[in-house]
Amino acid sequence: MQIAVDKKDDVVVARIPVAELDAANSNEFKHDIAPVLESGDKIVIDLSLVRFVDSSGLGAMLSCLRQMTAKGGDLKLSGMSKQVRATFELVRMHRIFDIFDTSEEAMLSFKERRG
Amino acid sequence: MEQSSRSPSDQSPSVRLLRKRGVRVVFALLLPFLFAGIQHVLWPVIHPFSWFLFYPVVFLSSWIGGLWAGIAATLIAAVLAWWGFVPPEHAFAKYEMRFLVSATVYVGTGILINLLQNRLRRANQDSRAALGAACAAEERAKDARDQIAQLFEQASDGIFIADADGRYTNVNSAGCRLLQCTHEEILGKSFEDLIVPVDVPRLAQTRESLLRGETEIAEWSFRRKDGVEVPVEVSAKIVSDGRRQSIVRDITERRRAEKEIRTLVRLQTAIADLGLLALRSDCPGRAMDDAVVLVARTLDVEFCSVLELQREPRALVLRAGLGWSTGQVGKATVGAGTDFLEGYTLLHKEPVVVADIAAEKRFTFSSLLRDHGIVSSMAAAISTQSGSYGVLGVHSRYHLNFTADEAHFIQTAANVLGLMIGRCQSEDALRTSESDLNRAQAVAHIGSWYLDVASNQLLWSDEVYRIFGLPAGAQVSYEGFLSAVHPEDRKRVEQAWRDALSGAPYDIEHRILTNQEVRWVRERAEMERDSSGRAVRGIGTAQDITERKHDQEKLLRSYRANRALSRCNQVLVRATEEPVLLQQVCDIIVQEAGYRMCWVGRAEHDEEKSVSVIARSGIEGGYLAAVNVAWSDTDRGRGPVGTCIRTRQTTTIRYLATDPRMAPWRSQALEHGYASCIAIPLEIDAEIFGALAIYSAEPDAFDAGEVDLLAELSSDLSFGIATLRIRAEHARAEEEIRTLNAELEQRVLARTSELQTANQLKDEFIVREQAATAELERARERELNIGYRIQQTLLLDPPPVDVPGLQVAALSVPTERIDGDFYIFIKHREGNLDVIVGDVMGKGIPAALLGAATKAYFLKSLSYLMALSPSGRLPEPREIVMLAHAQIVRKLIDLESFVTLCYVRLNATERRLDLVDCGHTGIVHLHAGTGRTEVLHGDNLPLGVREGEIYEQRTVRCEPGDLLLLFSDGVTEARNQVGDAFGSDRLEECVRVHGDQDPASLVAVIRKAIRDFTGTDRLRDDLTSVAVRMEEIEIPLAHDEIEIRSDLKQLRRAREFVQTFCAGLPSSMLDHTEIDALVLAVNEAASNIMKHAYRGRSDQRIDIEGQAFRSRVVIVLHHFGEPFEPSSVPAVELDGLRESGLGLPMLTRCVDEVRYFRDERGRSCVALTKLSRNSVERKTGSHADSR
Repeated sequence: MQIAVDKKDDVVVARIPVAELDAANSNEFKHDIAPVLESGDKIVIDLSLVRFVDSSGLGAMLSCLRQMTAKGGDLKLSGMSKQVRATFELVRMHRIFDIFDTSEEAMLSFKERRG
Repeated sequence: MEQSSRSPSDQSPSVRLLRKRGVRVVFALLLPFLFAGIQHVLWPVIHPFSWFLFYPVVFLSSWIGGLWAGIAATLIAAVLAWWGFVPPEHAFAKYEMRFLVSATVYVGTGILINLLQNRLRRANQDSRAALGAACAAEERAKDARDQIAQLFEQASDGIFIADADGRYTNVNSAGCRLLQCTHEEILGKSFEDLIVPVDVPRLAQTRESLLRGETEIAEWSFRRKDGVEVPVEVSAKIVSDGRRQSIVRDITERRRAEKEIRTLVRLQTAIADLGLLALRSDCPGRAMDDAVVLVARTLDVEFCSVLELQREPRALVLRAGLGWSTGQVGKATVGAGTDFLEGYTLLHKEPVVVADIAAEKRFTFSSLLRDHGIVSSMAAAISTQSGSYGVLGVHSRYHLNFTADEAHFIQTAANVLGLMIGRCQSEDALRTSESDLNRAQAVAHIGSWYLDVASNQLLWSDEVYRIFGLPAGAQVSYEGFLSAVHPEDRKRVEQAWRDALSGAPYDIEHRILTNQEVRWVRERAEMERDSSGRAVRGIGTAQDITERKHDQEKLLRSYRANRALSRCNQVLVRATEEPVLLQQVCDIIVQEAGYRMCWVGRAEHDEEKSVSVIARSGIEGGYLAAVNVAWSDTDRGRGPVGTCIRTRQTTTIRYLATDPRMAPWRSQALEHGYASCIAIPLEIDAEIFGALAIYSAEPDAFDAGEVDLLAELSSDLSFGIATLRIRAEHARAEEEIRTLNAELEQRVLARTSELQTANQLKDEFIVREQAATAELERARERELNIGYRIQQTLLLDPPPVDVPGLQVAALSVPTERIDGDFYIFIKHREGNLDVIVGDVMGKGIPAALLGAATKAYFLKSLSYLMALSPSGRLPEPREIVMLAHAQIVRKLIDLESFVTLCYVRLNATERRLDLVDCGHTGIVHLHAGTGRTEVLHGDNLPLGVREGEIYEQRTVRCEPGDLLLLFSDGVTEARNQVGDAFGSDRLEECVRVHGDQDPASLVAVIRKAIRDFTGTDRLRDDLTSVAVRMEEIEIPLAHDEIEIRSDLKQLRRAREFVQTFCAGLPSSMLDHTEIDALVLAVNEAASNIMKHAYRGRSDQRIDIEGQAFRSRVVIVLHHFGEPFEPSSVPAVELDGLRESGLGLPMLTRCVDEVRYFRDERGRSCVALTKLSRNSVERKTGSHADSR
């Protein structure tokens, strides 16, 4: 999948271009997001286009988070729809990820910490 | 000593005294003194013979006292004689030679006599011993003979023994029963006297093979004393002493089943013949005469009648008949009132059957029937297009029970006669009117024409214009006429006209095309010739015979369809493979019924909803490959086949050339010569399987009668396919049992040899004795494991979970020694559930194997009866038990075992249970309304006790909420330490107290109650209980299903299906959040099945079924992959450290209930239940929905 990447200052915002992230495409997502994760230490994954995430999709997100934590970076999520948010909450993953309503808010949170 | 066969009481006391040995010896020794006394008294008379009375002493002493007492007496006598009588008396004489000689002679003689007597005595003893031995041997021989005679008498098959001439010398009681003769009536007769005369010629051949020493097994018919013929199977052999031995088995039942099938085929063949008769005949009178003979022969009755209804005066006249006394046919009349059979029949559409007129209440017999002594009748009304024609009847002087098939037959025969009479009536009308040309032109559609050859001037009468659909008086020519002739007939018409010009008669039938309509015309012409013989003009008639042609075609088609149906049924009976069956049926439809093309399409559950061709026949020329039919609601799916599959309705395209539904295929279809077609749905087990499509070269080829016949054909075909599938399934099950049995046998063999080895080791190395003992123990344990495995895999079915209105739970606790307890669940259509609980007498592997065999026989009987049942009617439990018993009883008797069993059919819709109790424990029935229990019993014998046992069935009403408990005697016979049995009362009490719990809990409670009562976990007998709760049947508000492949890419389809299904429900049931949760749950379940159950294979199928009830929405996923065991997966910490394993917690949190089970088709299932909002609110805090 073509992940649109937007780099502002040192924060990379990656927008997931699919409406459904499920077992059928989660491996593809993991493969395609890898270079993005390599490209910086501060990553925001924008989920505003995504309408459905299942356990595999969630697993892929966790994999991203672990990779980032392992290299000392940080990963934040933004733009979750109500349904996707409900899925995260169902298995308490909203406590593990930093989740923001918009990617702007997520970027701001990086700056605040620095300040 | 010597023995006597006489009893002691026969003898006098003195003789008895003499029998004692001591007494006899003393007596023998006293004898010399006695005789010495006697001689002393008589001495003056005897003198000088000193030894005179001592010789008898020797003899008597030896006789009485035996050898040694005799010798002793001899010596005593010698001394006494010497002392008393040899001179000088009363003193021992001097040793003089003469005294010595006489004394020596005396003693010598005495000893010789003694020895002689002794030998005689011995010889006597020996001969007595020999006699005694002979008696004992005789006794034993007699016992053996008695035993054989008993076996002979008690055999269930007839045994006939004949001498070398074939005359019977003995017969057992089964043989007498078979022939209903006494023993004496059979003796002296020969086999030839017993069998029916037609079988006699076969005897010679049988005799030859018998004389060659072969065992001859063949079927014969015996004639009983009362004249009844009994079909039997005879196994005959000449035994070593030249006698002939025959074992005779009654095969009436077997014959009856065969006969039923044969009768059906015969009836259908007769209908086909009748159709042919009707078609060929021009003369209704003769055809009717032939028809009554055919009908009477087919039904095997003596009388047959065709009665015609006369209007003035209203009466029925005997038009044609068979068996009536001379002069009756054509003259006899019968009242047409409904108080007579015939009049009554006229008013009824159904055939009327009278088994015995004496018992008939609806009407009486007319004098015609009474005078001929008729007892049984069957009649059907004959109708023609113009109304009621009359009545077709069959009658017999004997009491006959006509079957439903025969009733159906006579109605069909009456219908065919009606068609034939209708056709003849219209032709009659034609013939009479031909005499008057003017009227004929109008009435019979005959027009006349005139053609001047030289000027090519053609003149038509008005009727000809009407026939050709042209305005009267329009300009016509021969070429114009020719262009109206049907293109296919044109060449033939031209040729005929040319032949007519050169002198041949002109009389042809051909088709014409008028305003898009095909009509049939008969043309006849006379030529006028000039002096040179050249034709100058033709004068002819043109007759519209379209109606007649149509009638003929209709009859022809009806005949062909009937014949096709009959052939198809024959094929169905013999079919063994589905593809072959379908192909044969297609071939028959094309070859026998004369259609242009026929194919069977199977509805595929793929994305395109395509239809694949699985059999085809006829002129097809690549049409099917080109047309690409589907059954979706698209252009491609709106053709006849697609519509038929989608709607499950027969779909007819009458005019293929104009029907808009055929638009995508019209040009190809017309190219292939198809003019009309019909598609009939094939449904198997209420599921659509595909369609049977038939194409005809004629437009509008399928009228109502034909559609009915073809529908019957396709329903027979569906039934045939279903039967084949059942057979295949059954064969598979049998194969499984065989494999398991073989494996078991192997293991037992291996185990036995291991045991032997262990034993040897024990003998050889005493030091290793303990090790060997341990090995033995393990071997025993393994053997127990085998038994346990048999029980778990072969004897115990998992209870079904998805029978509407029935909740079922079963529990079996095996003992260390395996019992033959088993239970079977069979799910049928329409909510019927059969439960069989059985117990084989005995223990261990033999009992387990016998249980498995019994089970197999029940399944076999069920599938056989279902295959035999023409209408797909479910066989009654009683029939199944009887058939299974008939097959197994001999084996059980031979194995000296029996089986107690309870066969129950439950139906929640009809709220009833049918019970056949074969000596089992009975069923506890808890009435929900009253809270009372009762034990339902039957009074049949166990299986394997008596051959030919009749099993009775009883029906019991049930109400929703009622609970039924089936159990084995291990439950009631469980004993506590004191030796008291748990008993039926305690069990009933248990059911009354805990009966409100669900069945699974109840069987667990019963288990616990028995453990508490016995105080131990070690049971003597297997503990088996099956609990069934009858519930109110809940009808789904909505139901839908799809099939997806096990490809992760198809997850989206699964989600969309759930979305769409939920969107169609009332909004009050689930809100958006709840629908999303259900979608996620289904997604996770499907993804689990794809990844784990199917191990990532993407070409398998998953069926998803949605059901909405008042209180809940249930989505069930069915698959054939590995079943999922929730307890095998460890709980996952939701700490974000693991990327996988989130699916299961998600799944359980998204829905209110997750159930894993196996359905009746062997599929693994996951059922996800989401309670509707109002139901959750209502039930907050309380126990969730019982399902």
